[in-house]
Amino acid sequence: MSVLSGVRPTKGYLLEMQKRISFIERGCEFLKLKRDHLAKELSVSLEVLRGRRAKINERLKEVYEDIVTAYLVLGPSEVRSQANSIRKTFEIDTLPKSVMGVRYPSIRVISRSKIQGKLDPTLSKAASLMMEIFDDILRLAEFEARAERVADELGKTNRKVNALENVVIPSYRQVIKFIQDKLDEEGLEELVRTKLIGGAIARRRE
Amino acid sequence: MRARLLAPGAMKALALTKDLEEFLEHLSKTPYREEMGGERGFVSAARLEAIFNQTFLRRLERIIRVCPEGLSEFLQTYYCMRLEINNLKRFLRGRFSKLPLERIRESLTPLEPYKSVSFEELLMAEALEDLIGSLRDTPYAPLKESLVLSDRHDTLWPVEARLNYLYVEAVQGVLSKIPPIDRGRVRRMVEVEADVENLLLAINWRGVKEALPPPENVFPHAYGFSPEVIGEIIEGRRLDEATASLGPPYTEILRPVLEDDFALVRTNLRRHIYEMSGAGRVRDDFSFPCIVSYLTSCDVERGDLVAIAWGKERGVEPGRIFTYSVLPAYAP
Repeated sequence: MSVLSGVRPTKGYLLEMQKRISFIERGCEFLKLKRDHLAKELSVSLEVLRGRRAKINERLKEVYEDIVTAYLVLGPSEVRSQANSIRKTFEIDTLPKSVMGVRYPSIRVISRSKIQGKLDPTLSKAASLMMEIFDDILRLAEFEARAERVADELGKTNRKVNALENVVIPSYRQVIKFIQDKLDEEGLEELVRTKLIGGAIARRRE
Repeated sequence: MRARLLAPGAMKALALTKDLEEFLEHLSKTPYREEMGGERGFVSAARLEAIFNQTFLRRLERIIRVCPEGLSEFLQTYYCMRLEINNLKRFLRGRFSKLPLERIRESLTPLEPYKSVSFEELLMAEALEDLIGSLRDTPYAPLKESLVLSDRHDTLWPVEARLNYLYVEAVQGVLSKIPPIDRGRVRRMVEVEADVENLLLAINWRGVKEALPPPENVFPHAYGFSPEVIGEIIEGRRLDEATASLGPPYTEILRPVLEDDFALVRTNLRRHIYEMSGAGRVRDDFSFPCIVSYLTSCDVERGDLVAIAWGKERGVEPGRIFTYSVLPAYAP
């Protein structure tokens, strides 16, 4: 269906279209600002994530080495039995947080098990390190969820901006130009008619 | 029977295999071929652990069956009670963390009851009082105070320490069954082991902020050094000073503690026990020393094979396996 169907080439309609396009263009500018902020937020998040993930991987490697040693010395069934002596693990709660209108889950640790002194010494060090890393892993998971949702929102905002810039605003401009052209045409016709009639009246008077 | 044990060179060769498949291939060329008779194709490290444990138990039962009564009683206390205590520790860990009964049962080594009631009966005990009641007429009855301490402080280590002492006392009680010339060496073997285990428990509790039971309640005595050292270690005395003050063989066994390598302490302990058990054969390679050396070698072989199998399944490099196993170090 043509954007020009249903268009009334009147001055009132032209003024309304101009008001609308001005509003839409302002809205598009705000969305571009939001897009730029989200893009900056995402690129900073990705840098941080890369760094944190690398650090956590290093520490997990250290923990894994200690656990491998424990398995070599104690045997798999003893290690599993030792792990059984820990009464409970982590209890967490998730709460919503928001950045630039984007909601993401924030994790709060409610309780953690006390493991110091409860495991065989060969496992104790690995277990303590692991408990420290858990906090970092939770923060990383929170950050990843945030980055994912920011990226999602960035995509949506970008699509909106593109739709506005490439489809909506041009179609409004097209309508406005059509009305302006029509009004100009009518104005010119009116002018020519007036001149013709004026000329005819002047000739009759002579 | 000694001929069926793997020589240190064979153990080293197993540790040098590329992966679990090659390990199984090498193992099939040893006497373990018969032990694994029913297994075909790929066998997991967990299944291999069970096979190695069963092999050790069969060898132990065979020796106990053919020994004279007194010696048999000693061997049952020395080995069967040690295995039973291990099972008891695993059982208590499972009960402590309220694991499902099936998972507790799976973690136990399949053993006939030796000194305690059967673990099936223990599994049925619902409350701590029922558990204490089930152990009442067994040598583990003194665990009652430790179980109460453990419950109060939310940790099992008072029970584990008490079990270590009960084991030493039980072995000391049957030393009269073995030749007098061997009693001193065997006594030192169990005492060194109990002392090192208790020292590791004490080191583990250094710097713990929560209220602990008084050390003298949990570690009433030490066999090779002054028991005050254990309390000093818990309270934060410098480890290098504390371990140096213990004297041989503790100082050498515990040296890796200064680098936080507790696993190597255990390996050092196993090597020490292995060497002590072998030392008796210099004097007498036929009777009691030979039996103890053989059974200790079986136990060490079992531990090393479990470690190697697991290491191969996980791609652990041979150097690491050598560090934490016993027999490969004695290979030429």
